[in-house]
Amino acid sequence: MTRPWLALGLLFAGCDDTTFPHLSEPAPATLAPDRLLARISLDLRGVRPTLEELDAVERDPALLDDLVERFLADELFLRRLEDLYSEVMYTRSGDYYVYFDLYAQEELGGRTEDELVGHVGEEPLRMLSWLAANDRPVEEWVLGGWTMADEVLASIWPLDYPAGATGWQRVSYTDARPPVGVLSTNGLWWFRGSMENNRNRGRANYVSRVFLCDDYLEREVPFVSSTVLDSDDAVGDAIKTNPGCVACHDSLDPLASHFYGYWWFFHDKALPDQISTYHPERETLWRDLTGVAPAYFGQPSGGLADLGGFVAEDPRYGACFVQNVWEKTTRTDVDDVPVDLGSVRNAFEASGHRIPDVFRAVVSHPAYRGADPRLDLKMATPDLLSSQIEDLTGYRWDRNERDLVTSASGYVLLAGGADGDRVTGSAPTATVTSVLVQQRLAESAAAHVVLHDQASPGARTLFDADLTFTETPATDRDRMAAQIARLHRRILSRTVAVDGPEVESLLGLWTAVADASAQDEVAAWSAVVTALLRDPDLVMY
Amino acid sequence: MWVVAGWWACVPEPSTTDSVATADTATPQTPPLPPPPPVDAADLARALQTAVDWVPELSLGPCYESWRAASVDRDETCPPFTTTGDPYLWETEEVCTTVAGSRYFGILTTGVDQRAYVEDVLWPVIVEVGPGVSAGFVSSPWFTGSTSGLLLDGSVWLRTGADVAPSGAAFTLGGNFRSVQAYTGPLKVRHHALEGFCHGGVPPAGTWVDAPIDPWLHLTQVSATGEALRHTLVDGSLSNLPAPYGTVDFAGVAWVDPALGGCAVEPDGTVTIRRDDGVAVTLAFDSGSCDGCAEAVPATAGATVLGGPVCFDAAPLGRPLRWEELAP
Repeated sequence: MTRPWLALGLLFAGCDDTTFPHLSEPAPATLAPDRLLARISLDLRGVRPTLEELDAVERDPALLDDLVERFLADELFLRRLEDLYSEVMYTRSGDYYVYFDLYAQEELGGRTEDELVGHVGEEPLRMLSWLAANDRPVEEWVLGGWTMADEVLASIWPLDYPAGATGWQRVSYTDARPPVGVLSTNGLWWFRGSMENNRNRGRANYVSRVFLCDDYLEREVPFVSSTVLDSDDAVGDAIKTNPGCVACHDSLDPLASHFYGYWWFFHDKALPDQISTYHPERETLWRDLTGVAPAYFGQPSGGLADLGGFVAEDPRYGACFVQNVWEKTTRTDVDDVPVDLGSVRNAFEASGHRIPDVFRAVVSHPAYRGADPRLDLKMATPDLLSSQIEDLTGYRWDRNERDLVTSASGYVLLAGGADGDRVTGSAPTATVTSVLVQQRLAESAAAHVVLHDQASPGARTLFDADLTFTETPATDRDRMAAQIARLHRRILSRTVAVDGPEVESLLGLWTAVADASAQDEVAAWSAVVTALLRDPDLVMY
Repeated sequence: MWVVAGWWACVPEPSTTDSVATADTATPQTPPLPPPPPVDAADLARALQTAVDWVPELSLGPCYESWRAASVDRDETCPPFTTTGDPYLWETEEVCTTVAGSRYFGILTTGVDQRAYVEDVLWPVIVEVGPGVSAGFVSSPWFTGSTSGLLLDGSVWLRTGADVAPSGAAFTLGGNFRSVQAYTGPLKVRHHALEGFCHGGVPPAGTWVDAPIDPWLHLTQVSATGEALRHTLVDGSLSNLPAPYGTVDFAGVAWVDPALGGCAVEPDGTVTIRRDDGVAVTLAFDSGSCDGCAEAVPATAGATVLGGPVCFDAAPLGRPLRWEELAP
């Protein structure tokens, strides 16, 4: 009902709201400097700007570009990149195809599924951040015999991980898997499987969706007769002959035929020998199972060994990377909120397909900086909620070394995240459950930082070094007001007056809690910090 | 309607059609990865011969013997065991421990009745091949004959006192393995379908389980009862062969005794030899040329071949396939 009216309006508007000047022209930074700095800092580092950074930009907004360069060189940018792409790949939050039961045995490391997913799910993401850190083109993600692994993965997979090393290292698998980068990693295919009768089509669509931004499941398909689904044979025939099926299966099935080196019988998915090593003897199973030879959108393929080259050379690959970065950074969908990304693509091309250059171009885009009202407030993801609170307070809501805010075994879906299965997109705005997660996280983090800072006057995380935690509004009102104003600025990146209503309100809260808790300063300050961490501005930025 | 059309004309396509890189900036080129090293025809010949030499040595037997030897301390409760005659089944919901201290995990079915398999899978092959092997074979719509053999189907992780890294198991098996012998009219048929891996345990020395080789291979050999004239069909792959050419794939490979119209030194069919870095070449054999040689043709991008045709001795394909009578 509304589309014709929208169309009419846009026509008369001359489409001006979908086009923006390129980077060579001055970027109209219509967001206030502190808000823009906070947005960029959160998007590039996952943390709020420091007080010093806020002060610097307040003095000279032109320093923002220098800070962007500093943020892009920060290790936190790599973690943010991983966070962002985890929303594309779901390897942190989704359900895994394999069974982890046997890895709980002592000789296999004695780790639970939850503990292992915390490492397995990082493999593809760490590869991407390695490319960013080492100034390599994004095409190398799908090329070459390399991966990233830590000592945990090295203990369960066939890898040439250096003896005695720890942490994430660039290594290679030692089995006979084809050298196609992330396309031949256990991390990817332990996560995304295909049921036996699905014939790897789920994996094919995963490649198409993640690397080419072409999700077969979003294509419109006509209904087919229910008799088509009567048996495996009927399905098999329909896939080859029914026009409604052929439209997708003509290209999907040949893509699926690349992945039979990861073909497992359903009940074998728990066996380490089955799932940890590649099986070249199964690469040609397509002959028996579908009769469809590997091909890449019409081009004959020699199998998985050729797939990396096809994907890397596909123009959709680079365009998809740009699109994913834009969409996940701005929390928009280019189909719903079309924006001219020419400037970002130009920067990507001019850099030789380097990752940081895409982000630099995104955060420099006028629409990102506030020129487009459709990109006004956006919701922080669970990753972003967790990382900024950890930075502010030193607190992470952990169990089994996994972040409960961001993991499937925790509250990632409640917090507004997605797993690609039950929830296919992050929440665009606060929900009842995300507010609840934020509340509980805020309460724990606040108590943690107050106790820490009270006990560690020489190494404060959040509070001023000279706060004694003995002050009361009756005795040290100005000192407390100044502290609250600085907490406000640090946590919400916003300046408030020491005699303003925000400070007055929080002083009132402090007093009320102190009165109700026998003048317990820790409880009172915890309440103040909790209130700030629960502020909607923490997650809508 | 023109309004809607005008609106669509204004909205840039999100991913593929809006502006792309302009030529006004220099584009650093991504250095291409170095091409893979060439494959050598002599190495291919050795790899192919190794694989072919294994063919008559493959059967369920060594895997089954290894499993039996590794699982001697099964007891009444671990692994839980049920049978209603055929098949025999054990299955654990989680790891169980025997009184002797061994741990079992998985599910394993063994079965001796191979009639349905022969009727469904082998009979069409027999009908096609049989007349060429024995003039006395009379085709019919269904199989009427005798069968013997064993199925081993499952997913086993077995931990005893012995250490076998890296699976943490003393014996582990995953897949579907079957050996079948059938007699029908004047024909004897041997068939092995080995789909999966069988690692560890106490395998007989020198066998594919001892190597270990990972097969996903179907072997079928049809011969006239009491005669040494054979028709052998090979389909599927062997991997974990000696590096660097660790995988050899047979597609529709058929060796036929010269007395039956075939060639002793060359089968029909296609063989793909895969180097462990994924580079593969294909050899198309034609018994009509009967020289035991074929040109290697690159099967993956960037593959190059040094040297002339690849030649091998096909005689092992004409030997009788291995056979053991196995009982569950």
